[in-house]
Amino acid sequence: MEVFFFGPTSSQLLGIYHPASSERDRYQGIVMCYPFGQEYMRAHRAFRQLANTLADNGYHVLRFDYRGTGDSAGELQDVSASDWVEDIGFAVQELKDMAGVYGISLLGLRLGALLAGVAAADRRDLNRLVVWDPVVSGRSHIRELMDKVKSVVPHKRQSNFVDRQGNLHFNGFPLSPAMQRSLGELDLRQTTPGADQILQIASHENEEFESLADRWSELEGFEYRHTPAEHDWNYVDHVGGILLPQPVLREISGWM
Amino acid sequence: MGMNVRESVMQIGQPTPLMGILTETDDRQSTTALILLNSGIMHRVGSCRLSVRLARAVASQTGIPCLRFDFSGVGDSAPRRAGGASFDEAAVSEVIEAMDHLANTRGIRNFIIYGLCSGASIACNTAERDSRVVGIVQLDGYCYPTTRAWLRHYGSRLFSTAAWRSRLSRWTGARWLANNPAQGGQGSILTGARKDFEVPEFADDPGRDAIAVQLQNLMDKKIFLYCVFTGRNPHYRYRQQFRHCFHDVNFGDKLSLEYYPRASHIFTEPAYQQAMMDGVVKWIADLEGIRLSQHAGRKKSVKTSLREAST
Repeated sequence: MEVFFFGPTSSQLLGIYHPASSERDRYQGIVMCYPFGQEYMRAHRAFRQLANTLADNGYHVLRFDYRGTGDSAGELQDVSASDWVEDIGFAVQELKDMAGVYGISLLGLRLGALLAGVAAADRRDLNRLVVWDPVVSGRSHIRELMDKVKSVVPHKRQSNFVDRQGNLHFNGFPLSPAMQRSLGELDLRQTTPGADQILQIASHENEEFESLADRWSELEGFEYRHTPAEHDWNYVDHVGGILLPQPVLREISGWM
Repeated sequence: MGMNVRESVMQIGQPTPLMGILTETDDRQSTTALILLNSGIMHRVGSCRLSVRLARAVASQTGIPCLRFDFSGVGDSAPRRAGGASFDEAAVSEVIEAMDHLANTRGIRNFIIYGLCSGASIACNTAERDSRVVGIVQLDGYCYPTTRAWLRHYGSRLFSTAAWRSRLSRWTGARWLANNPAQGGQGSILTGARKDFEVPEFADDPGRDAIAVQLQNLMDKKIFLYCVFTGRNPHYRYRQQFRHCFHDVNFGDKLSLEYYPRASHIFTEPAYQQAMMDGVVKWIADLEGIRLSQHAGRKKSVKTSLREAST
């Protein structure tokens, strides 16, 4: 595992590279796209475990933090969803340069899946795209958070609220008005990812997942799998517990 | 307006290095560093990214370099424990290893350790073992109920309809869980046999008396202590509770206390995030000022003695 900063000097991104097992090198790369906020904290260990498994299976894997998140430069209030889509592009290029791979795949969870799907729509060089419990529509996601803020119990009103500047604070992380606007413009159902194979993996079923599967089933190489597993990512756990949904991790590494 | 900071990856130790990020300014004058520890199994960025933001604020406003790193087996550091050492024992050794690394690569001689919850306990244990620790920032560290805390806790609840409603829902919820063990409630840790959910292994509570002995040891070593408590901690009910709980410890002027009654344990409230960070930065700046003036005073008195001896 190699840890480094990459990307533009003004907004350095933290990357963690898992080189492929030398005996099984497929010369293929995978960029993993994190979810956001508490979901990112809770998914970090699962991502690391999945990256290790995929590297053992012969893939060169890069995990990275979007600008304004994790160890990357910047503040959340200063970034937008289009910055994060751009960051995925930087990560793809970085992995190509450092690993010399022939092909690249994108793998994203929740908001990371939405960003990966949008990034994939602008590319024609991807082998595979995996969207795991995707946020299908940025607009619906923001609306869902807003609804939760409106119905929040009194003792959480200092955590979950909209401030005078319009920043949406949820479980310890702010979404600026610019971020809300830019996320609101993203919808996986309106994208056509430029990947040869697409896996939509759902740990539970809901209408948005179904509508995405309906839309993407028109695409060649699309597959939908329902793998029941833990999936409640966005909550505050004061004990610091994390999710490791093993059935989904197995399913993804098997499919790859 | 603070100084510009830059960050670099720091790999600590061989053959299985611990992964860390060092935040520093171009001015490498400081011989003191801040080390920020993991809380439970959350990786080094800290709850709500607070360790990242705090490290940048401290480095920018005080010039003190800050290292946040993952213990082995946590975050991005590979597991390397062997020989039956407990997590807490290994963690203390790893903090000392990080201090050695900063001493060797950056000439750092003194350390301030920051920890939330389990991290607070590891910070104190490290300070007991290593004399280079000059200060500790502990958030929701060990404290125990006092009579006044019990009265505040139960007195306010006795006549509260919300408390009774919550109590009733807990009782009915507990009964529901007993009848539906497979459900568990999403995200809860109530069911034990969930392989897909992981919680930290906490050390056994050493008890008030053992913590009092430890705190006195730290005071005897002249270590400064900044304790922050949150109101969502059910055992902490008023600002001075820590002093009252450890009334037998002689803190002198070494203890600073802060209490945020409406803050959650992991600081999900933006106002308290900022207040906590401002408080820590100020305390560190003050501590460094005190230490530098003490150091200058010592140097001055040595020079005076030498001058007196030569005349």
